[in-house]
Amino acid sequence: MRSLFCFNILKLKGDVKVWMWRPVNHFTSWRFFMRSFLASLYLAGLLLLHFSTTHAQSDSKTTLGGYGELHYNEPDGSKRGVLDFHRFVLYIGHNFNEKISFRSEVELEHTLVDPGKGGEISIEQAFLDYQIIPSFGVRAGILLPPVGLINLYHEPPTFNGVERPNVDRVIIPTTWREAGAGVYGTPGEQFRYQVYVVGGLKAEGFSASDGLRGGRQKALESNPANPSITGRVDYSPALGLQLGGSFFAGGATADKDSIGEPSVALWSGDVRYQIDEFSFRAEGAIATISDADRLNAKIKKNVADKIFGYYIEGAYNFLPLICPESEQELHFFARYEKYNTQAATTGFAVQSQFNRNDVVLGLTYKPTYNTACKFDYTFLNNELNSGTNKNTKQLNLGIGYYFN
Amino acid sequence: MAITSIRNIALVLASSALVLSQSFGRTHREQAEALLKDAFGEASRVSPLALSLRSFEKDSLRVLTKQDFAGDTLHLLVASNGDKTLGYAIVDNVKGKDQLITYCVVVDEQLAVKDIEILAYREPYGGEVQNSSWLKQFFGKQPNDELRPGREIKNITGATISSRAITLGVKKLLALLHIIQARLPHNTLSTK
Repeated sequence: MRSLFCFNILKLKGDVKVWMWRPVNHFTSWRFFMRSFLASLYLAGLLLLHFSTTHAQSDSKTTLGGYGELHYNEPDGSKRGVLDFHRFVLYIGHNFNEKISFRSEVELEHTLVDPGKGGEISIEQAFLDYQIIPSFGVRAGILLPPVGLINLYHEPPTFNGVERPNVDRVIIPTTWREAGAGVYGTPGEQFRYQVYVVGGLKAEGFSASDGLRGGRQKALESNPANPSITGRVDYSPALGLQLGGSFFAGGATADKDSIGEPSVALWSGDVRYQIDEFSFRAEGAIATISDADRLNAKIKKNVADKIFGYYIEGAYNFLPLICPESEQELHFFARYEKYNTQAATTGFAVQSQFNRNDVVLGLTYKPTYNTACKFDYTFLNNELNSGTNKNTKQLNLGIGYYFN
Repeated sequence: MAITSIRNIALVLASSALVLSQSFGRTHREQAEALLKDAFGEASRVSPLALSLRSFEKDSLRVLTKQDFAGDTLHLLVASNGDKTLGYAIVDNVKGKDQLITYCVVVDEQLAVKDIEILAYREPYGGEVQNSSWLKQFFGKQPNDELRPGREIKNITGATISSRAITLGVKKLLALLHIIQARLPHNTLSTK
């Protein structure tokens, strides 16, 4: 993976000066690349600051916003349900001028921090953003690796279903945040890109059931020894159609001698399409974990070599049929998800309870574009379907909002 | 190592300069003029016009659109060819999630939208509203047409706030032009 990104350019060779491109795939070059990359960001920032100040209007202000969601989950109709204010998030932003801004999200999960019951306060995002020109900006801080749809667009009224798709939980570990820096821009009106160097995953946290999820460092005194590269390209070829491709790749440990040299490459693609009252979205993601056998010898978690998942979802807003004048929305939706956190393994047999699929049927009522009342019924199936891994069903109710 | 570093730095500087050279320079006024000339031909003459808004006009706007126009003066660019008025351009701001979005609407003399362009998009996310396939939805819209976000003008998934803001902004500008139409340089009124 690394060799793809490491070009030690313009090298001098022997007595004859030869300009050449030479891909190098050892660690020193990686570090060199990192240094050059960061130095480049810094220099570009300085240079462009100098040129662009004449164009910036003063527009300093601090902005406040937020989102939240309250969930009720009742498993299988037989047991008592759980009512949970799952997320309460505040956005705090500041515009230093027209081009330089600060963005943050502070999250409280499950209303309070209780060591017994869980709950956490965390910084979901906090970065400085310098939009130099539309096609090129830089940002640094705690960033969201732009992998998949939900990690970037997680405000509850923007997706169907009370709970986020499981593909966006165990294959793409949403909400995923890491410290880092990178560049973004809109070079043509249909194209957008973002590429960041961020803290890597920690393989010690990987697991059989939740894939990469436990490996997130969350920018918590994170170990910078294994920087990873993550990025996303968005392409919108026609009105209502949006295509995305994203990746995250890098080493996954600082402790090479004891657990081998696991590294992760995660690829994802997504489609969103809207026509009239129909909306459709699909997402797929696949991750490979190298050196998983040596990792398993140490942490004994049955981490797979390969995990993958996808979902497809269709929705229809039928409120205009009942009430054509209304600007409210009422969507019926159906989603099919397939996700397998042990798609391929080394040194142990694939365990079929991790080959799962969900069917979600539900309604999303949106009195305004930024509030939602959600109802769904979810069928949670797995290939083993016996003992403690019997297929289950769950009723979910939720409300969600965002504002700014 | 040192030589390579210096060369890399030089490369960075050179490429930054390249990016820079293509980007700065045109003011919003110049961009709006260019849009007017695109719409009505290079030969058309563009002149600025400032109209101070009367309080009943602002009240009418509030009643019609439930929106306020920021400020008391409406700045327009008027395109004309000889005595004939061809159309108007207005540059306005709407608030996106956190930042202002600057956009320009070009309408013909009948107040039908001929062109719309985002002149400055400053939000970190939601830049899809700059896509011309989305903006084309406004073409031909007139003050009496319904312009509801998510209905006549589709929202963009992932850029809902920006697409709504611009839709409401265009609705506001068209309504305002309608209210002050009699005070605009106008073919049926100009009897020179």
